[in-house]
Amino acid sequence: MEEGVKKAIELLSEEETVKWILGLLATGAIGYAIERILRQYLKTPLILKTRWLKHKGKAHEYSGKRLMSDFWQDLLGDEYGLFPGADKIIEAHHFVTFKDVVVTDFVPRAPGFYYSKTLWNNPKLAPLSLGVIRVIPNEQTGSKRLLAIHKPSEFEAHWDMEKGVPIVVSREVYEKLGDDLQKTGVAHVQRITAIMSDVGDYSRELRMADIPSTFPVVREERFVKKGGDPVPIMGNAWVVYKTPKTSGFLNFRFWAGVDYHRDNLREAKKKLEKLIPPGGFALTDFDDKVRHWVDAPLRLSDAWKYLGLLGKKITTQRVKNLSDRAP
Amino acid sequence: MKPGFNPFKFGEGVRRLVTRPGPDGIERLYKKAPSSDPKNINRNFRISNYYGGTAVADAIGCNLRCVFCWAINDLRSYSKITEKASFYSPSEVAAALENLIKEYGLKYARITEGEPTLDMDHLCGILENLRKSKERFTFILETNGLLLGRYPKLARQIADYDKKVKKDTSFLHVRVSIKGATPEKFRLLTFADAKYHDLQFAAIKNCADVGLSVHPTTMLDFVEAKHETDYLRNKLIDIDPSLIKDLEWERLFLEGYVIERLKKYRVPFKMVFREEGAEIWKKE
Repeated sequence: MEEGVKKAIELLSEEETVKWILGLLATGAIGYAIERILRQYLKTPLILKTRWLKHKGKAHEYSGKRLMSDFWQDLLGDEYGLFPGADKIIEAHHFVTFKDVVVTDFVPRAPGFYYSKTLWNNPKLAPLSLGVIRVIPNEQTGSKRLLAIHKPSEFEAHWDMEKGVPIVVSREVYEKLGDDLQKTGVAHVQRITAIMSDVGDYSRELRMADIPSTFPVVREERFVKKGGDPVPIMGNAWVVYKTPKTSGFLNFRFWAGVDYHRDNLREAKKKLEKLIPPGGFALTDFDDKVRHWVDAPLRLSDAWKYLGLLGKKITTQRVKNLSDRAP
Repeated sequence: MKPGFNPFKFGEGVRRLVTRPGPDGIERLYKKAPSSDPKNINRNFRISNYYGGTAVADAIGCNLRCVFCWAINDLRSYSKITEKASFYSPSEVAAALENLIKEYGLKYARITEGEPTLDMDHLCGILENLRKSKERFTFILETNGLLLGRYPKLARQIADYDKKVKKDTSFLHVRVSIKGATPEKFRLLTFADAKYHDLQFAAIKNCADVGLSVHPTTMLDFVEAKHETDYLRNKLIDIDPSLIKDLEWERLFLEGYVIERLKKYRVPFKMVFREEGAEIWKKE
């Protein structure tokens, strides 16, 4: 015990000493309680935190049949094609929560296209919206995974994966969803909360000129509440092929969210293969996770160089340059 | 532009072919489960993955002749009763759909391929049976909207079934499939006269007016220019601006015979599909 404290006890009567010690204990208890509450506030109650942020206009919740269009409207603002003059509400570091959605590793290759001005002003570009990609982590991205959120059904018959929202998750979040993704290609999630962030190197995989590369990022598994059966959603498999005289882009639909989704992907690959003209071969395809064409000379990232040239006058020569890399 | 056919006259002729009176109300011709999915073997109707899982009855017969329709040959193939098609009463259709819903825990039921409103007595018979079901589901009425657009009383008639069912979710939802964004495109795609194009928007309005849950859909692959999207947008905004957010862009299914028909009738489409399609890849 410190000298000062000893002196203080000597100066106090027995009764006062007891009171003094009790006071100290009470102060400690209050301090402890305050610390616990603060810690709890900072750590556990995400709901409180998002409520507080929501109050400040920095947390947004999406649910129901307009979940996707609401999100894209809030993200794109005036660039949103459906309501000119719409405010851009979501910004970097804002919290976004999606309720009752499915998460899959099939990601729209041109996210937001269906909701952008581009579609309404130039519908001829619609083919650019076709297709999904499935990428795996690399040296640049680290262990983070690029997935996508989808809201199937709700009266839309043809719920294409192309309408989904890309989302980047940490390895721990991916592991939480991993089993379901392996089994059926989707994981049903009751609630997922993310922070809008730059998706870094993954932005290279997502191609849409007027879409920002800020998307939801989930770092901790506690921000994800799983639940519900898998729900079927439709994806577009695609391949870039080359013949001695031409190049082309083919796509074929497949289902995820069903127990036969792997077989369905294999069927899609077989059908695509049949559509490649005689003498042609696959240059690359949409899937980094499963190499459907093991002899395809280009990786997915190379394919983007191809697809980025679509509709440009310089296409012929630049496509030729890229094609020449293939055997 | 040459005038197209009258879908109401044509539809009436088709209706006579695909319906007949029965002891339990008007019977209609349906295809038997055509899917190769093992779940559908030995069933009259089928389940499908659309809408996240639906119980489906494939009706035969429509009042349009859409160039891109995958069921265009149904009427020719099944107008005589074969092993692949049969007449069903409203109660039989409802019971089959309900069984599938119960067995697979589905949330939706629908009639597809043909036009369900072609015979309203038959359709209402199905709705009357389904609304008594103990299962919780939504019946999605997939329609081209011509009849619901021309006759507002039909929208009121089906809305009555929705009102009789007190559930959290809608018992009935109407999905109006707009064939072509403009009257010209409607004529090109359906062969029906362009003046009927507007009825599809009228159907949406009539349904909304009587409180039915409704959303529009159209095929993106046939929308080519800004004036078409502008036309579509303005028509929908005139009814209700929120319809823009609910618009479902459908994509074309390119089966072999669909491609042949598109080529035959010189219908431009923009699905990237080998060299035969609207190629966006320049040949070297």
